[in-house]
Amino acid sequence: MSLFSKDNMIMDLKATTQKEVMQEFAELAQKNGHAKDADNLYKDLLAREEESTTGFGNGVAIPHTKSKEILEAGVFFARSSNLIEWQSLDDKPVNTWISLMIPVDQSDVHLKLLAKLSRQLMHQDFIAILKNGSQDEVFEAIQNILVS
Amino acid sequence: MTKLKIVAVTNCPAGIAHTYMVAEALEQKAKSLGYEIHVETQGASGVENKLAPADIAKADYVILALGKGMTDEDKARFDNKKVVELPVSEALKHIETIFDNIAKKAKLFNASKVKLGDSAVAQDGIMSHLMAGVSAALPFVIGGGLLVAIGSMMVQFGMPDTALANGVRPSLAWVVQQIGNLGFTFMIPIMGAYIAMSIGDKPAFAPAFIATYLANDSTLLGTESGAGFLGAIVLGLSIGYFVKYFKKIKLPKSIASLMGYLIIPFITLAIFGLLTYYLIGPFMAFIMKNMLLFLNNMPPSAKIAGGFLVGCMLAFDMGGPVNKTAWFFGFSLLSSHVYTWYGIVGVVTLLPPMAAAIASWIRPSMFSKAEKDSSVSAFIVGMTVATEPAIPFALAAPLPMIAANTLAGGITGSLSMAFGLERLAPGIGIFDPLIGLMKPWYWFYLVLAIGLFLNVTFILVFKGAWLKHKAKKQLEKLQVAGNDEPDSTEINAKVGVEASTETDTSASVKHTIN
Repeated sequence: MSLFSKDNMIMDLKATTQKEVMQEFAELAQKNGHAKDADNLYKDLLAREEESTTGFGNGVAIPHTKSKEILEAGVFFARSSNLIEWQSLDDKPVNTWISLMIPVDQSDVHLKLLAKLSRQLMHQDFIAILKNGSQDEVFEAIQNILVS
Repeated sequence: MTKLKIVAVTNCPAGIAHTYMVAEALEQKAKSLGYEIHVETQGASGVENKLAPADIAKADYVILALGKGMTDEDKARFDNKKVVELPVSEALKHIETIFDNIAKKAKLFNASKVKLGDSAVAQDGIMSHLMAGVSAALPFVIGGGLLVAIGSMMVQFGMPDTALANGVRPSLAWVVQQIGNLGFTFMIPIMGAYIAMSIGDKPAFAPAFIATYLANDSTLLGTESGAGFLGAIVLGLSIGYFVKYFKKIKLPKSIASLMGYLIIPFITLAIFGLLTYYLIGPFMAFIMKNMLLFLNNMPPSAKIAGGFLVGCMLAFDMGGPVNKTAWFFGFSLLSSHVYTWYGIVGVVTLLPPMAAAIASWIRPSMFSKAEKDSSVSAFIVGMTVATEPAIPFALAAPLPMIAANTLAGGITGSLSMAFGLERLAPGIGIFDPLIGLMKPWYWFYLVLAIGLFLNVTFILVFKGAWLKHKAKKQLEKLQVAGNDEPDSTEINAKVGVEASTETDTSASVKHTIN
């Protein structure tokens, strides 16, 4: 199974609260075969969020977890027309998410790719594509990092 | 403004996202300001871009952006640096201003003095690997040693010592000793395995454990003795480095994931297992045979010199082939009613563990916490049944400890011969004279006291000099690192290094004279 595909993207997330966003990510991960149980994964995602916010500003958040519910590492992407409160570092609501989910005994290869992806989040041009690009553009931008 | 040099460490709870985001942000920000920066990431895939001691020495400031804290041991490398420590989320939030007023934000960090002594020993490459073996092996030798001691006491006080055999129920004393002996048996492979793992990581553990076990198992090898702790050092180090370089081989992604669990352990074990069996085993048998031949052909007049030689051999490798040869020489003469050579065994084998324990009480600063914690049981086990508790102490500082033990063992061996000490059978060490196994009792305790005094003195002098030498070498290394590209800030950095290492050396000088 690949780390990332267009099936892992939701361009019009319906959620209106942080919990609903997590719910949708968890269900998508289960549906695409990345996770065993969506309910447990949902709890793991929220638990990580409680430790400290994953909203790092600029309307973007990166909910992630290292969980035993994950079968295969996955990258998920979502955007919404709703602005959702996320206790972000800059106190601004969020409408763009990139979610990283990895199993507990993850191989080094995937971890290195995810580390590279995380580093890209600090580049403004990459963030601009995530926030404003078409589905194809966003897919390509993320895929470029994961395969190069 | 001069070009600042920064080193940083980032980590976070999951080790997936923030570790790398903050590392990237720090690098970008520093670059835009024209600073030089090195960032170490401690993420889910382990430590990457580990800061070199030379980089830390040159850095003006240290930034620690931590989401899951940092151990004191890890932090000790920033001793005497100006450190800014903050939560990783704060670093991300304030990345734009993180370098503003850094002089005010930074605090001078001082690792505690005790740590300094420990890290001075631990930082040097090979020694840090040996120390990993020491701390893993200590519980084995302590737990096992105390059980063996209790078991042999039970026997000496009249309880039956019945071994397991067909239709025979073993006695409790025998069972207790057997369990304890397992501690000694596994101490050696655990040592080799942890030394190897410290160098080559997890894939090195299993092959080193098995190969070291084999090297120490005389039955499997068909020799009179196992390779002992020196074998564990040799195999642990060579397997560790072998695996370390093995891991660098690039394989196609499809089979790369099999490296750690299958390919490396399998191939490493096959190679070193066979090498151990076909090289180390016969090699040990060869040297033991020749040493024994030499001892047997010693002219009878050379008793004092012979006592010195046997004493040296007994103390040299504590259960290894050299020790076993000397022991076997003394023990086999019992049947011809010659008791003086076995008398040497009765005194000299008590010395290394007792002396190491006493030395750690007199100069605690020269020993690690693990060694100090084990000293009481090393003393008790050492004075009754076994030399093994001295092994971790020797592993922690091989050259000075082995030199001190061997020299003291040799002199004590001569004395034992000169005073005509006779030991009739294996017993319980220091209590042998009380149960009539060692005589005359007054000369035994006198020779033992002299031997202990010498052994402790040699340990303090040799290990003190060794620690001082290591501290000096470290200082030189730092200065070379600080010298390689001289410019104005470099000179500042170098002055800083000199100032900080001055406290280093004075600390280690204090170790040896206070």
